[in-house]
Amino acid sequence: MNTNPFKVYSPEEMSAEQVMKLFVPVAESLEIGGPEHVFIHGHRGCGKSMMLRTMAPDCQMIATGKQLNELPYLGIYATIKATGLDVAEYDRLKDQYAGLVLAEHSLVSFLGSKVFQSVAQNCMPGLDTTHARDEFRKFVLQDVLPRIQPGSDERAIALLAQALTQIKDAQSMLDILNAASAVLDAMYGAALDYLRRNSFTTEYQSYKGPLLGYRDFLYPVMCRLKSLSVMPAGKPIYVLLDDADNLNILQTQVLNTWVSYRTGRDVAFKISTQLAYKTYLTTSRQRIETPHDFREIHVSSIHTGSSSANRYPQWVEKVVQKRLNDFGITADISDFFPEDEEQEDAITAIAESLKKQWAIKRRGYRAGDDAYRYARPDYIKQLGGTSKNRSTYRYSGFQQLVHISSGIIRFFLDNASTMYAQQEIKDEVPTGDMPGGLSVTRIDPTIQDLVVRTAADELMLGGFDRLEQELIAGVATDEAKELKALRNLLRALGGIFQEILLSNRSERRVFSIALSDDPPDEIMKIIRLGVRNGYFYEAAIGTKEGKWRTRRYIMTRRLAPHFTLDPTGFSGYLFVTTELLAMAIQNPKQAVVLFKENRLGSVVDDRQLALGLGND
Amino acid sequence: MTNRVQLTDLGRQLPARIDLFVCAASFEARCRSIASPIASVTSSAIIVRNRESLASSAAEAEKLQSLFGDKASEVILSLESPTQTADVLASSIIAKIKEVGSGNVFIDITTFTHEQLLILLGLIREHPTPATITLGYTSAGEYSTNTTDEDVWLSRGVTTIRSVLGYPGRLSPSKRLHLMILVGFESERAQLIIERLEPAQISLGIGDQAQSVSPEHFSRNARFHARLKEFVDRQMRTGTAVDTFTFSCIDADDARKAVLAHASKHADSNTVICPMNTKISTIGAGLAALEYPQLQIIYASPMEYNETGYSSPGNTVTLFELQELLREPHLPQAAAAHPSLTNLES
Amino acid sequence: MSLLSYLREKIYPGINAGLAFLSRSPGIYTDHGPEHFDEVVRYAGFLLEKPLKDGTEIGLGPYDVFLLLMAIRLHDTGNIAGREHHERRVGEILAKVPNACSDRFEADLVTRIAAAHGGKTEAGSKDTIAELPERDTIGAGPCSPRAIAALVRFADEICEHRGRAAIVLLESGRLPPGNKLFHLYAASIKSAMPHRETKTFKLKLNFDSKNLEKKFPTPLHKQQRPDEHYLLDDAYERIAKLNAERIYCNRFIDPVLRTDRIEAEISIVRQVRIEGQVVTQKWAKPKVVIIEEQGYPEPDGLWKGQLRGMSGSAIAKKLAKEKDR
Repeated sequence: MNTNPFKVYSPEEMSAEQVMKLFVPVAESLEIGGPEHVFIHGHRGCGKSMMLRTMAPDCQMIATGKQLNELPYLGIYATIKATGLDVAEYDRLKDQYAGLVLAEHSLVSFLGSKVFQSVAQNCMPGLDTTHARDEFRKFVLQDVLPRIQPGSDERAIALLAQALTQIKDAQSMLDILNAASAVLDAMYGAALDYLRRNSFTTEYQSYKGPLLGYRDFLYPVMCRLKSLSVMPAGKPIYVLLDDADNLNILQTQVLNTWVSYRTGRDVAFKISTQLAYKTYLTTSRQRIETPHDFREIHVSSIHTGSSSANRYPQWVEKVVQKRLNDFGITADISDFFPEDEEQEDAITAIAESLKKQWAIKRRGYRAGDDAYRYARPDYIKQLGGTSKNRSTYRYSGFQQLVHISSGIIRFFLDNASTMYAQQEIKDEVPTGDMPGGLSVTRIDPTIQDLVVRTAADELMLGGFDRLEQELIAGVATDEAKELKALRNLLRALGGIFQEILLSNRSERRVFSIALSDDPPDEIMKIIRLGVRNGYFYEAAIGTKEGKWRTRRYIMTRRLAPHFTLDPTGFSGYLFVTTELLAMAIQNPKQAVVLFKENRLGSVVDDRQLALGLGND
Repeated sequence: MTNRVQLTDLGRQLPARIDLFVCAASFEARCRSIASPIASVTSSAIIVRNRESLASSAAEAEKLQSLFGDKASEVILSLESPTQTADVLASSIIAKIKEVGSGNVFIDITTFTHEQLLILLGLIREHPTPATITLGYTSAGEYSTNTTDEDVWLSRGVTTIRSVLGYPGRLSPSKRLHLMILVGFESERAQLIIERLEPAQISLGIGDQAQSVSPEHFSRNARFHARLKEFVDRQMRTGTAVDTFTFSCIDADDARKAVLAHASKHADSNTVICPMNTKISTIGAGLAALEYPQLQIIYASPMEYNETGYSSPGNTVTLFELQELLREPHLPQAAAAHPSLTNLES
Repeated sequence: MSLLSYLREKIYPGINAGLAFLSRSPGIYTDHGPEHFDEVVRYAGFLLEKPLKDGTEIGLGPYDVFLLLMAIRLHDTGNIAGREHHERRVGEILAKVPNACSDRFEADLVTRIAAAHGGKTEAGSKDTIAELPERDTIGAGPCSPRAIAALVRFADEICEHRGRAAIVLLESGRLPPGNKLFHLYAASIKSAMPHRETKTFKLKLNFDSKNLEKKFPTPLHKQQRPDEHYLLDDAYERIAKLNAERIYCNRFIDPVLRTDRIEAEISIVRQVRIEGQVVTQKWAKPKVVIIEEQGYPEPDGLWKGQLRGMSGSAIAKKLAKEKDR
């Protein structure tokens, strides 16, 4: 396999050295430590998994230069994969007492195994001593295994007995940890075996296997773990739970119940979600609330927030530069991702011309600002009226690529990775690692453009669309219908934004909508689906007078190439009514037509307003 | 044993009487290819439909109904609820198979969804029967018949990804995730699955060309093949740990063996299988997971299908008896074949 | 061995000793031996008796009654290892008899119901019953865990009587000072019975005046620091607690089973010597106290806590600020 500097690694697969080499903190103000439970929300790829990974002990030891037992907390990192904890069989138990009990048991045994696995993978530098081994052995034999009640499950009983012997005889710390982890894996497996028995029957299946709970197992075990002399004694444990959206509703309720316990000084949960967390209800139907039960952080809004105009591009630049440096490339990023020179020269010429005109007419706040705002849209407009001509616009250059990634580092890296691979093919680089550095030192603008256009088209759920009406009713599952409605909405808005760009309006870089009334639930559901899936980012805006606030939804700039929009900034937004949204969902083509006829929607130049976010 | 026959010869290959015929009504005309020549020798039929696609399958369902007349009954499954699907299949098809006793059952697997087919397989395994169960699969001629070569598509998007009922696996929290995809023509869906699951290791299964179904001379099919190749190539260049393996698209037992052989190379990982090729190879994957319950099978439901031009029916039908395959030994002999997969506690 | 046999043989006989020596404040506690469990069963029976006889629907099925009996038999068994968090040790004890329940889920449910009779939730609240599902389905069918837990809790609460007091030790003055109040109160209970016709719990207390003259040390485990109370004041606190439990448990059980009032008759007697004979005389006319919801309810406003930051003045201030901007 070739060396690709932009490969996206799963943080859990990365060594601490790799992590700390590549990691650039998301924001100085983003702090999730402390004796409280925290939810960290952000779209896939925004950097939250990496953030959690850096809190594992091996990374902290590198970052702080401290020994394991000197660290301010013990981080236990655990990722929840889709279909990892949630299996279809849970549907059989969702209305039974057994469902919640088994959900708790599976979550406890999963996390219990992760505790030992995490110690084995992330703490070993501090644990490779006889003293540590003996202390751990005692801990497992006296405080962990006796808490496991195998029930009358013979396999579980035999396994426990076997583990007891293995641990007593273990010669190394790793053997002890692996044996402990294996026991908990088996406890977890017992739940899966029971679930399998329920696959094809509606009859109640009795369960005689082990049952572990948070109060009688996981919590006391973690409290005891952190009191060991080789651990950060007396300091809290942070359970770094990644992608909790992948829990089913029963497991989510169980987790919420644990969050409702005020245990932050001993065990605090730092839970990441991709904005699809299923519920905030506990197992007893109480609701966990912020700030009483937990704190919340939205990572996406940090990257698209009002202070983010330069922060995100700067952050991406640091991340990318680190990766290139790792391969010996010290050149400027803009040389690695060059712009289309001819295009940029033409845009610069338009900008100069505009500056001269406006210096005379005194239009705009600063001539430089106006030139910047209008030059690129004017260039796109000049390319011609047909979509074929407009498709000659090149999305290339580091700045455009950063803006297109819409605040999610993963999107930049994914695209860059693909670009690199395609450049390798174009340059006919043979397969196999190149000694002494990278085989590619520059990505052609045409390749940059092709990759982001392809990604944009794929994001629109397939192929080039001609704003045709979608049939929504009757032929799909509810989810599929909603996704189609979303696609219609995006088509309509993209088409309208395109019309605005090509018009003679004063503000033409419109990428967002603001709600001028209160749309009904069925429309808001579609918009929220868009937010959850990363098609929109949500914010709020208000007037300077502060008289009112309304919601604003910014379309992801990843779609800019699909609709040939200028991704480098936006400063206006489209005020929409329920009427326009409903029309867009039903008939996107018609919505665009009505907009052109000034019958729906109005564009507001938000330089006149106090903005919540995203203004360039 | 697997038999590939021309549709025109189908009648000669089957018993004189079919006690129960099962098929899934679909937007594809292929759903009728087997039913047409053998309806006259069938005593009873069950036509399966999905609640969410009643409109798109209505035309073919009507044609199937008229083929069988009073002999046919309809059952409605749910694409959104696997447990409901399992319960309906159990109370209809499985119940009827029990009534048939030692008779002949024919199941046309062509247009079931992968998930429904696997559930049905699991149910049949759960309810042993003396009946002879023959599975039939009609190959497709051309795919994406209503588009240009450049714009070929079969399905778009993914709504949910879930484990298939009956195949939860026995994943160990301390092990890494190994995703095996039996890739077909829907590489976009495969890409979305990889993105959502974020496996530590990916194995892309590519249908053995010699054992493949579709004739290569269709240009649209060639485009699909090219796209598949681009997809695999891109994964190799941009992914972190990607492996490939080949499997048979036309022989379930060979497919089963290929899946197990490759999975046993990753016995220290949690292996999750996503079959997205022919229904025959999906049966193969199902058989593998039934034999080794620690393997999980998942299904990614697409947002939409190219209903208007999904495929044109081919001329060949692949037949095989299920009971032979289900009679494969379970744990004891399986342990000899793949010892690394049998230690359920490792 | 059945669960009951196991408990009678191995657990019940050791509870008083466990309480005495393994609690954080060791001492002689009121009786928690085998009879206590039998009596809680009996008192639960008193609560259910009338509607069952009348055939009135009580919102509980046969399976609920089974769970109720199991939970009662287990609820205080954790005291064998000391008083603190005794309710959390029920599961450990039940696990000693693997076949007591039809499967682990049922065992888990029984454990949680039994444990809800006392203690606090992890969040530090006494509202332990609300952590149970209101209604659920388990192998044998539907059940009402909250209602069952409320019955266990209330039956345990009202099952206090003279027989639980260590009378001999009291009279001989050998009880540790910190334990006297328990026993004096128990010894003063002349009768404690639910009266289902009127949905009343009738409590008759008979205090010997000699025990009312001075204060006694409060039980150490109930106070942060040592304190002293008069027996009467202690009794009134217990009656208040009883009422709190009544109100709390009523929330979860069918109206037919609820106890709507407490009728406490408080008598004070004294021992006098008349012509060489010790005679017990009433010192004052017995006082009957009725505790029930009566009159117009005082709005407690507790629900307003959910509207933090939304008082009239707070909203008006915010609106005014916006206007000024």
